[in-house]
Amino acid sequence: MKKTTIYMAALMLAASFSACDNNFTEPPLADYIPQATIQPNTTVAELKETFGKTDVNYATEITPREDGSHYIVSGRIISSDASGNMYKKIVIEDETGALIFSVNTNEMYKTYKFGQNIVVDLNGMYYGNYSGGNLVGGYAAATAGPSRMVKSLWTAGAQVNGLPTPAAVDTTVVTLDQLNDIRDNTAEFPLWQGKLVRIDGLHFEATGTELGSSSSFNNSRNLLNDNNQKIVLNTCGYGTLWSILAPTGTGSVVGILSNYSPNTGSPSWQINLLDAEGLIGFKPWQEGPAVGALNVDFESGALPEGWRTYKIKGNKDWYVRDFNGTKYASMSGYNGTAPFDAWMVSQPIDASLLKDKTLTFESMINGYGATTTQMEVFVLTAQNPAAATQTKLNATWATAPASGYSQWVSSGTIDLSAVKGKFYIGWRYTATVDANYATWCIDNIKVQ
Amino acid sequence: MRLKLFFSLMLSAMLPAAAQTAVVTGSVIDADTGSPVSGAVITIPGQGIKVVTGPAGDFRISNALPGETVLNISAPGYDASASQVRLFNDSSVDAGLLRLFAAFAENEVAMENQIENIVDQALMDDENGDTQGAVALTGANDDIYFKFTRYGFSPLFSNYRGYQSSWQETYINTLPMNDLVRGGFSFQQLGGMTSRAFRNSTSTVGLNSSAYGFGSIGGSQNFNTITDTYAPGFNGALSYTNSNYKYRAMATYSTGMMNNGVAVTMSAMGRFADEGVVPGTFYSAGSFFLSAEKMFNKQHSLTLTAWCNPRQYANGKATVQEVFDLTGDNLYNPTWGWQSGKKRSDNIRENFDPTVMLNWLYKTERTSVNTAVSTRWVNFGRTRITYNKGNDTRPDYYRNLPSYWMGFGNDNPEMAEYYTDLWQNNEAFRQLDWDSYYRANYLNNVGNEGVEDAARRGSTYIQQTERSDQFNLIAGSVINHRLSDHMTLQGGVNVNYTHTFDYALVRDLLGGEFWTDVDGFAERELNNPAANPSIVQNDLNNPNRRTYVGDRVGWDYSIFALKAEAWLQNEINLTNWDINYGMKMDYEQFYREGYMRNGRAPENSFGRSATIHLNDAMAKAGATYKLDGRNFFTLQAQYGTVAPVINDVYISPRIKDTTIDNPQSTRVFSSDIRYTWNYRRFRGGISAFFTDMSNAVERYGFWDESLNAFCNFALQGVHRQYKGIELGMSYQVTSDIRASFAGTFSRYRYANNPMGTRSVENGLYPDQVSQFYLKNYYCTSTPQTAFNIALAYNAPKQWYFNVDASWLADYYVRLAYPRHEVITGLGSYVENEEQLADLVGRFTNQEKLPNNWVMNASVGKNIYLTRAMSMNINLSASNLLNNRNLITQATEQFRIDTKTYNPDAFPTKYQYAQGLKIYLNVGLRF
Repeated sequence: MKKTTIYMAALMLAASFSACDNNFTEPPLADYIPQATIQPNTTVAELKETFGKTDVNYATEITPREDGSHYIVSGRIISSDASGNMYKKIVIEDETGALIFSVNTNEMYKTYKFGQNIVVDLNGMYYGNYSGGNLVGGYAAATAGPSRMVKSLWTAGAQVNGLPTPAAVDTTVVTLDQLNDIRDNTAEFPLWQGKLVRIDGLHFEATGTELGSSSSFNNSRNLLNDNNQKIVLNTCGYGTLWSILAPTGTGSVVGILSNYSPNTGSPSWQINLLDAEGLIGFKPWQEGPAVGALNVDFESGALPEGWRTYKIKGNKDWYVRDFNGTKYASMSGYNGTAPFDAWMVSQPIDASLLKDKTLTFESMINGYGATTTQMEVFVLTAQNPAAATQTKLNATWATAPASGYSQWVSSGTIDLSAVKGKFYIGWRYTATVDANYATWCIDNIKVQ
Repeated sequence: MRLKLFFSLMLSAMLPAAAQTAVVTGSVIDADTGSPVSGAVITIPGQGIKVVTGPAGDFRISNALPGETVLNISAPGYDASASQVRLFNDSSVDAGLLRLFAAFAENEVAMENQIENIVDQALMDDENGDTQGAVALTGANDDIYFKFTRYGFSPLFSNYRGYQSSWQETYINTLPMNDLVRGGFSFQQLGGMTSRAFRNSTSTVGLNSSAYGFGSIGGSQNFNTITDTYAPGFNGALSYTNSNYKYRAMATYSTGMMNNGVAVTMSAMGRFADEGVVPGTFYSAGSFFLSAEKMFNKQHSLTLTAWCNPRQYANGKATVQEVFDLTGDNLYNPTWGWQSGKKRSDNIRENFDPTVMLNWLYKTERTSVNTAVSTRWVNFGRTRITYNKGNDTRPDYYRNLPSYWMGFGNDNPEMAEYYTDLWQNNEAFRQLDWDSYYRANYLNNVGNEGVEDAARRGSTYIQQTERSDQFNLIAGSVINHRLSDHMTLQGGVNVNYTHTFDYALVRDLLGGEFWTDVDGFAERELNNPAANPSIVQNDLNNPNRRTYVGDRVGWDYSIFALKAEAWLQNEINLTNWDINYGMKMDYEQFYREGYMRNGRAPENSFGRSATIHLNDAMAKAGATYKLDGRNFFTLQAQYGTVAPVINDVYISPRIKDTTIDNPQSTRVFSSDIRYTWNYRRFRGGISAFFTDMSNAVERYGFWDESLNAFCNFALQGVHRQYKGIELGMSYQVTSDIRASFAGTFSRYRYANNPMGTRSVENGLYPDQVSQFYLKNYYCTSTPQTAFNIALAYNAPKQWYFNVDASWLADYYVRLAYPRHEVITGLGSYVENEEQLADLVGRFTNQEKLPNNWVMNASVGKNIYLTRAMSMNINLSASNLLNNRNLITQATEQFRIDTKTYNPDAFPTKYQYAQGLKIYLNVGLRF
């Protein structure tokens, strides 16, 4: 009986667990990898040559060729909107040149990745110039550049092909001299627009200021080389890069090249960073040490080092003005877009080093009678008013005459004895919509 | 060679009996349950006569010598018995019912309590509606392994051999009672009376043959309610438990067969809880049973059985682990909320399934015929809040969870903390907010003041009842005919006519004026340029219909089905061989009739659909070689086709009559091989089984929020394999102590990568066919490795103790098909192949649930108050270790995060068993 049992057990085991492949079956990975179903038949150069014009603004619909075939281009994606700086734009490059697409959607980097090969059927899209920069977009009225194409037009035409290979993306090293030459080369000029380039040996004209502001879409900062040749760094206020403080030192800039031609005035190259890594070799800007006294008369013609302005609302900023032989800081809503909220903030001051713990300054106003414009002065705990605790100070201010400028009026001695530690003084100009905006002037600031 | 042997056996079986002899017939039954004992050996000492009972427990000896004769009766697992009869030359004597007592009397009350627990558990867990949940075959059976799959492995072990419930056939008085449309048998129809009114039952394990029907590969069970099988007297019990219900009272009275040939059995039961162990649930159920028999003479009797089970209860619901962690409660229930100081549930289920059955029993010396006709009205409803232009009411909606604010492209720890705080400290937030639904509806009413009729707004939120009702007419006849002392023939015909009624109705307007019968979810699709304005209409024949309480809304259709079945089997019982073979033929036809013209399927929703016809056949054979009286070897096999469950044939039956492409039957092959031994103290069996199901259909529907639509998956051509080893054995340590072991090591897997159709009910996306890579994944969510050790002690003075422990392992979640196809868009989301392989691996991984020990114990005592009156007290405790981490259900969500392709974004939903469960029962019988 024992033997039989053993035989039976062995037989059963063999019958029900004869060797077999027990691994879970995953769908074949290759089936996940996207394959474009359309074949490219046009190079970027052919496209730009076929549809290109030199007008500052124009758009041409891309319709089928006479034989009915669509214009289909292919290339590698060399941009990313992850940082928001390439706002609603995607750029591809083939062996002949680069091509910018303007699409009305966000977060394209998630499905159209940097380094991804892509095939685009351009049928129904528009090619043209927008402010002198060529791109592919959507419908445009006559004499206007292409609009941002609707997302569905893009997704209907664009097919990704394979997995992204970011290592295959080429960054072209170029100098400002070369760029000037390219501008004069009518064949090359359109093809360089959109290229991912690296320019070495540049420094920021103004350091320590933000690359842009969240309130404006286009922000220009000048980059200069040792020969004082200039290129504009354009930073979008909708992304995350605008708050970077322009660094000091000399370095390289990597970004997407484009052309900007205003209706009047001379055209210029500009460069858009893809991400913060596009600034190479610079030294991060650092706030100076807190001082124990301030004596500012603006006679240098600029804000002192370490001073900052903040445009929180409106499009006007503080500036240093030279008038009647004296220089002072001034802010006016004149000719601007209301409402305004603009700050001028001092460098840091160390309260423990102050002798008298007082503030004095002079103010002057150009008024046309009563306006909604207000001027206030604050003690701030951080330079950026948005991040600071604000303590309003009581000052004596100039009053607006019926016309023309008032006299300079002393603020009186303002007591700072309650202030502790590191602090900043900030002058705030605010105005709502008005027929006339006052111009406020501040001079002879003394903290001691 | 085998064929020759077979024919010689047949021949010997049919040889005419010798002359000058007496005939004796009879039936062997289990003394406790009244069910027939097949395979019992009847010998007449000194005459060299030995016969074996057939599947109906019957025997016939045609060559006995006349005179006073002793019949010795023995069967595995029973104490041997003897019966004295006087035999006469040339005539036949009926020895009647010969009762066998189990060798070791399992304590009855303890067993009953276990059955109650299991059946209750099985009935509470049917969350998806399309599965009837766990199946527990009850009733006596001497297969030790099988017994423990029913009692020992609960509450996790649910699917015998990994099969779905439709692969087990349930009969009542030989009429097949499985549901043609949903498959399987809903045990709640028996109203919790399985321990009393439906106590007499016979189970057939696996491929074994039975006398009452052809059965199915997962075995079968026949409940016997013929009145004279109930022991006369009163039996009553009061119980307390801390489970779905708290209190139970039941009483049964049987007259036994009275002198006028009439027998009556009546039974009633009530179960109640104002709040069950799961918060916000309640339970209120009554059950009524009547069986009356008139025996006209020895040959004819008529039995009328009628029962019903009015029941209303509120259930809990599975949810994601994050919610259990936030609430710190594995019994957290998202389906209730406070209203006017009371807990109100939105997961109320209502049953009422009155059934009437008439049986005519005809019996002669060699032949018995059971002819039956039955009508059954199935009434099932469940509540659900629905809304139009409102917010999702579910507290555990994924956007209400902290994880939403840290995933799905969000990175907002402040919001995550805020929601964490709400979950932990704000009960109103983590439960349904009934007041807000009323408030929204009242605001509509206020806005309606002075507004012209056409511009009035109805309720934003309502509570609807989703009905799945049926009318069944089932009729059939089963014959058991004895061809000779060693050979019997069983056969039957039956027909099942089913008419379903599927619809939703307005249950509560929640303070609003009316409800506009449009699909608020389809309405979201109106932004889609492809959408037609009529897609919101549930009934284009009555567009924008205003409905009130009791009106049908949403969907309204019927399935008309007819199934006819005929089967025949021959069983040969010899001294060394038992052989059976049989065959079954089925014909099934059905169609859908829609009573609403749905705006999402205007052409194929209203009126009668095409009729689908299916023909099926199944053959089976089995042989047991009895080496001696103690060692048996059995080999059995079954092969044929089985029609799919009708519900799986229609892709979206609520919306349209579209079926899967060319519906076909499932092809099944199943076999098992077994060795059993029966020594006085040591018995047991070891078997191995293998089942192959091909061409099967699977369907699953779910709400896909990424498409804003209800989405159905219908898989066709599915190939599954089930195989395993089962071992059951018991050892009689002393005459009062028995130790048992039961265990299984099995694998239930998909064996191919079938094609499937994804159908979106809003009709805006064409049905999409793709391949689902399922091969080698587990197709059943039940422990595949399990064993149980049990000790039973029948102590002196009528005390008894039982204790058992189960180990449950190799338990996997129920997988979601969409994770196993090539996910659109995933390839353009990843950055490289490693990331792709990692994500695909995480999407397709089937989670293995933790292994667990479960311990149960029971103690009790019988007290004889008088000679005839006894009282029993029993206290059972299941999950004695108070393990609160026992997962009873785990289902992957079908939704895929197509925004960030995070495999964990829509995680598995779990349901946990309660901790320690006690059952106190006091019974009285006289």
